[in-house]
Amino acid sequence: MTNARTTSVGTLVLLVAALLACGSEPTELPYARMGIVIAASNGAPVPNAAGASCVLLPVLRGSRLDETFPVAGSLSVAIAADREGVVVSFEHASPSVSDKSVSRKQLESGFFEEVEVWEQAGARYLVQLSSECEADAKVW
Amino acid sequence: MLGSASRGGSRKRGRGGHSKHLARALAFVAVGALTAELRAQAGPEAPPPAAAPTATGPARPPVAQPGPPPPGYYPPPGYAPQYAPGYAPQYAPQYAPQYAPPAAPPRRAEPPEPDDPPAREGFQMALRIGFGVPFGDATGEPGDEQRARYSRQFASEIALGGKPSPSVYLGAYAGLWVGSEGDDPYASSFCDDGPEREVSCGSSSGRLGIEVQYHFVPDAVVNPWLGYGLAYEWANETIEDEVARRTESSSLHGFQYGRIQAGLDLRLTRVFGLGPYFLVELGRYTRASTEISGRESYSGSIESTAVHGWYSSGIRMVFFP
Repeated sequence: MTNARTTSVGTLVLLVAALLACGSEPTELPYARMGIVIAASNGAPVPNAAGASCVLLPVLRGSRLDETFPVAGSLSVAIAADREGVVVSFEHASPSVSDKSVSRKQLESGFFEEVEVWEQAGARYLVQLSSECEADAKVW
Repeated sequence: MLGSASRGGSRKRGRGGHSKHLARALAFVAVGALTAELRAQAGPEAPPPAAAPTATGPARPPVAQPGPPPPGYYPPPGYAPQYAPGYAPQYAPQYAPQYAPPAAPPRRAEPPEPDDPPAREGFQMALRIGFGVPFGDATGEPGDEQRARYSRQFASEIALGGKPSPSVYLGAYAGLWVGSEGDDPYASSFCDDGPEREVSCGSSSGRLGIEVQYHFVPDAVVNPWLGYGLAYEWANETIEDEVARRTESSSLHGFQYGRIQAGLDLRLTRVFGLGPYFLVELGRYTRASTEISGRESYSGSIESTAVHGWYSSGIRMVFFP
């Protein structure tokens, strides 16, 4: 009698565990990421600009991601990311803007910075660097 | 007593014994003279035979000098005449006995060696399977060890070539090795699979090269050999995240300037052999590239290079050994 009860309880536990396993959604891997949003000085989207992008930092040793996001004219935002962090540079900005270096740990613990850049023609833009990505951002 | 007896005896001979002594003396002289006359008629006297001591007994009497052998006569095989010193026969050249050396016994046919394939020249092919273990540094960056990127790999290779001589092999080879990710903690934390993750990680390496081998006993069943090779090499590590639909692959490319190998071929038949092998590869990666989700995100040269290597051992199957 005791054995039969123990067997029943064990079977029930296994069934519940199996149901829980089947019902759980697979989770995304814990990538460090940097969200990039390029906007005009008034916050409006910039035509032909990259808009919102999301860079997942590489995971493997030696991996590297180099990408360039156009802003306007010759102004662009260049990303060089490896698994230790991201270096953001602003090409053809006038006046020039120093590179921004963001480590993986900064991104993992939460990070936000807005950088003002001017195109050579004088137009002003805002580049937001964040550890969160927009929902509709293009993932790199 | 003695004197009387002696005198008595003398007296006996004295009475009629003188004539007997005289007759004996005359007979002795006559025989001696006759003998001398006969010798004088026969020719100069030969030297007296010397006593030849032998190991087995007393001196052997002199052997009569044999006359010339009749034509067609040969001593029996193994016969070796023994002469006392000074009595060796002196033959005229045409009469010298011709002793044939003892005939060798007929040789029996040697039994064939048990399936010894003959040494071979020409086309040869080999397949290898084994395990490879990385060592050294992938690049000169701090902590960038090979084993952090790549684990032990299953090695498979094919080699095609030829033997211009039984001892020398020249050929080309292609190898593809596969394994799991390295022991880098950060990457491993992503690769740890679980019920809530759908991720797979792995590593692979390849090489295309040329090699030369020297076979020490090419006609033996057990044939040891040494080899040296050069190759172009690449290696990569991948992680595939099915949830994010993201694939990342980090590759290194370089040149192996030393592939030192040794092995033992057991030449089982004329067309097949197999045996163990051991090799060490040394090289240097010079270029790196990254591919993310099928798109190359980076490609460039490595500024700080380092020496890396692989050990490998396994079984080599050789065709037409």
